Amino acid sequence: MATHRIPILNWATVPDDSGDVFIEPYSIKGSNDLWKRLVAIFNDTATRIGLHGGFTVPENYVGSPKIVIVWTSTATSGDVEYDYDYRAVGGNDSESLDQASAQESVNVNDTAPSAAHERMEAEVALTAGNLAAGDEVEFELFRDGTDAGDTMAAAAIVFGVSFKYADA
Amino acid sequence: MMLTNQQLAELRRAVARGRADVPWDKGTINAALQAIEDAFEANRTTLEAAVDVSTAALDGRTFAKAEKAELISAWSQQKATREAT
Repeated sequence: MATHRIPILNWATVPDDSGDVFIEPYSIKGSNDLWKRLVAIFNDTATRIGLHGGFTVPENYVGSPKIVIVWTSTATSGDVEYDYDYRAVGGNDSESLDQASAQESVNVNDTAPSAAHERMEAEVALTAGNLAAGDEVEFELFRDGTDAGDTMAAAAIVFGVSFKYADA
Repeated sequence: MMLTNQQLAELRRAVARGRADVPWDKGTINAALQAIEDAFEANRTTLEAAVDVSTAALDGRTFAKAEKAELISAWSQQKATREAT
């Protein structure tokens, strides 16, 4: 058995309409202005703001599914609360891709980096039985500013979101 | 008055913008911002009276309350810019 990790931010990724989640070059928040790759910004707000997306569960998926968020911040104090809502849809002409609720909502709280811009990983487990090889996963990744656990007074800078899983 | 969660969030973002690091959490900065709001309101009457005294001494004119609010707003924005540079 091996563990795999695939990126799940792709052409399907789109911020919600809050205006507080957006894509920008990292150099805007960074100090050295050397790395100008795009990052997803989740502002400090009093609301629940998110990024929609989708991906296909790999054909060698067996179990141990997790979502891994690679992120950082200029904040060096406080915590950030991430929520991940998703629905996995499978089959061929049998299950709707346009359903009215999430299959599961999970959350993870992570503490701000000890120094600005240090690489952070927040990991949250999904229910293995909810997913099957080939499923289309529709998801929204939130920063929940309404949660008492979200105490970080600066934007979360998300570098990537991955699906981590085990094969046979 | 008590600042709303939305107002506090806007102020926190304004403070964090342009800072290389943000070494406080929401609770700390919220308390500081509310203290600024409270101290300003506690001294608003004194501030407005000072404006009245200054203009009355010139030509007997005093600004209306809304006009004084505009003056204070313009002054505080420029003051913030001057102190930030």
